[in-house]
Amino acid sequence: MNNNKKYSVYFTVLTALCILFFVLDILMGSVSIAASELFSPSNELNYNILYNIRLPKTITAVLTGAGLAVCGLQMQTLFRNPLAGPFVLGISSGASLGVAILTLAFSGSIATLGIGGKISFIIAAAVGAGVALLLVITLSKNISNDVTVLIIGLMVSHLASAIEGVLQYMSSAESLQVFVLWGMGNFSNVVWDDLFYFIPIILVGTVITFFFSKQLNILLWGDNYAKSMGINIKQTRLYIIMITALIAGTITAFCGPIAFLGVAVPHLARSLFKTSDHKILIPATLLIGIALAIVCDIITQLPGHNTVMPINAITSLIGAPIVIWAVWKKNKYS
Amino acid sequence: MKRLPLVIFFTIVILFSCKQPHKETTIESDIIRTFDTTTIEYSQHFSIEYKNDLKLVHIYKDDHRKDTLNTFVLIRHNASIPDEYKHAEIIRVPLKKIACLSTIYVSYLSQLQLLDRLCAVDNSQYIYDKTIKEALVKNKVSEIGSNNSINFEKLAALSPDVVFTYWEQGLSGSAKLNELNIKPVLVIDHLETSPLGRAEWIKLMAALFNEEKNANDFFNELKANYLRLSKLKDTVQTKPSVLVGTKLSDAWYVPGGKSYMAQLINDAGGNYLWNNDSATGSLPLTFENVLKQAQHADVWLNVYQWKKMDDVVLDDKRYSYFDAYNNKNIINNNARVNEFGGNDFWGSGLLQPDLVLSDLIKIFHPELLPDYQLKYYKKLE
Repeated sequence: MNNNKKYSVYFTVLTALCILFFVLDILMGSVSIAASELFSPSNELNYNILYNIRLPKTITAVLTGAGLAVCGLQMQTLFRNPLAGPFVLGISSGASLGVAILTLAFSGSIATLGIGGKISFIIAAAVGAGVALLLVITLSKNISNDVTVLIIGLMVSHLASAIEGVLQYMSSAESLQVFVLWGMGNFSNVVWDDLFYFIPIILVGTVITFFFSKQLNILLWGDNYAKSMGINIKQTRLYIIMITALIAGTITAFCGPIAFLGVAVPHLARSLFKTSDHKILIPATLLIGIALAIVCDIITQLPGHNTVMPINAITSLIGAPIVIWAVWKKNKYS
Repeated sequence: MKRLPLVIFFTIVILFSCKQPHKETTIESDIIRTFDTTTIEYSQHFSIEYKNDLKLVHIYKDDHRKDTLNTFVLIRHNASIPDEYKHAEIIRVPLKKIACLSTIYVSYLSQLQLLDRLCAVDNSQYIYDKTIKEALVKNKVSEIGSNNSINFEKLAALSPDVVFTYWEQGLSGSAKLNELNIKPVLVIDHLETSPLGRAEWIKLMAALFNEEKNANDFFNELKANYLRLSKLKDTVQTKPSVLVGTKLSDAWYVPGGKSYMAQLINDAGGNYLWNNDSATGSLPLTFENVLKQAQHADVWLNVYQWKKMDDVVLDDKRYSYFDAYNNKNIINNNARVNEFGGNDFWGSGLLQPDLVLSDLIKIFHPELLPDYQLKYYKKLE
């Protein structure tokens, strides 16, 4: 079987899985609803649960999975480091700090900020993410060692978290609650009105990423090779960072920080497709990210259980072993 | 016979020293006057046992009084410690100085008129009561931070006899406090499920100051009021169904069927929708689950920061699926909240469950208390 044939089989299977999980996520939940209700809900309660509670939640899982996975892939390629990802390089911490400054320093709450507040959350998170990542890039501009760059990223993360800690210590109980709840992360708070902003941003962001697959491939070979190929490295880096900050910042603003999806999924894509070609890796990462995020969401609300588990516990529980497995496997063969 | 003066001297010394213990026992017999006593009727998490010259306090982790967290021996300042308690945790009473790391414990002191013994609180921002706040300023009460961020230097300088605080899987600073010769008294009032049981912890505070009589007077009146009010529910025909709380992040934390809030609602003649549940804490439920159970609930209580009806749908549009929203029957326990978010419902409200109960009766069955004005609750505008 040649590669192209293999890839098309994989992509078909992955797409089918995504659709299957999507439908399952809408059909499964703590309230049991028959599958026949899906197209003609028999009462208002079932309609609301299916179309206004579960559907937006599932779409949010799709956007988050796709967005974070693609961001993770870009970061891993840009830094040539398997541990890179939105969470490791300070984007999430930066976004958190942005929201912390908004909610704590200005002591606003979601209720008092209103719908304008939701947009201000997105802006605060995106600006925070961008600033953190730009700081990492600027500091690591003249550094060739990947590990050093990673350390700088981690330290910027820690710095942002520390400032957050100080802000939390000094703020009132009420605004603290808004921030702490935001920081727990979840897919279920997003409503249709939010998706009106959320869908286009993630869609545009991921589409732009596709146009960068050639540049990402070249970056993998190192800066000197990229230069010899006539690529403006500084500009390319800046663009990739901006897209990543926009996608990860938006996701973090709507859902709070979501752990490990961004780091784990690119590893799964690489080991499944056994390629480093971004023309293949980007769609592969996208699909695996979607499937994994929906599975995590299904696990948080297992049918038959009335209670709900935090999404971040589930993503970490699944994501961390994947990263361990990927790193272990890579070292075993090399 | 050179030694005669010496012999006489020693004889006198011995005679006097023989008298000494006798004299001491007369003093001690003054000391050994019985303490005022109190009986614990509702609390599941502590007990006080009176022996003639000491009090034994047990604090229990579970609500069957089996798993003991701590035992304290309360004994007067100049009384000698009986041998069997040589290695026990001794607290000399009445306390001279105390530090309280939660607002509610300050309310106990205020009720017992002992605020002058308070030398430190965790953070005075969250105290709602103005007279307490003024007293704190007047008595120069310090702020020393909460359980996990105690300022030990400040605390050592104040050197209270006791730090009175809540138990949360232990207290990281316990060893440090013992080193500073300050006794940590860790209490579990927050796990009490009966409203009267929770208010009863004032009796423990009173025992530390030998003020049992005061506490009894307060508690007996409270109890009589509460029991009288809770009998009113027997006269009502229909009980409104009640929903509590809002979604916080992923989960809607609904108080369990045997929780503090559930008991108050039932005692006030409300039909709490999770009555059949046996949990004493809260249940993290999904939004859809709560919607299914409570979409037709008559009354919706305790909704955190919401103040106006507009806040509800601004927070999440989907709250409009509840009848209580459409009928504008959302009542929040935020009538007494200060600018820092300190809510008196969790302050004096815990010590006056009869008033909280009156509020709830007024909400569920206004005709039963026609002249009563809501104290802790306020309808969303």
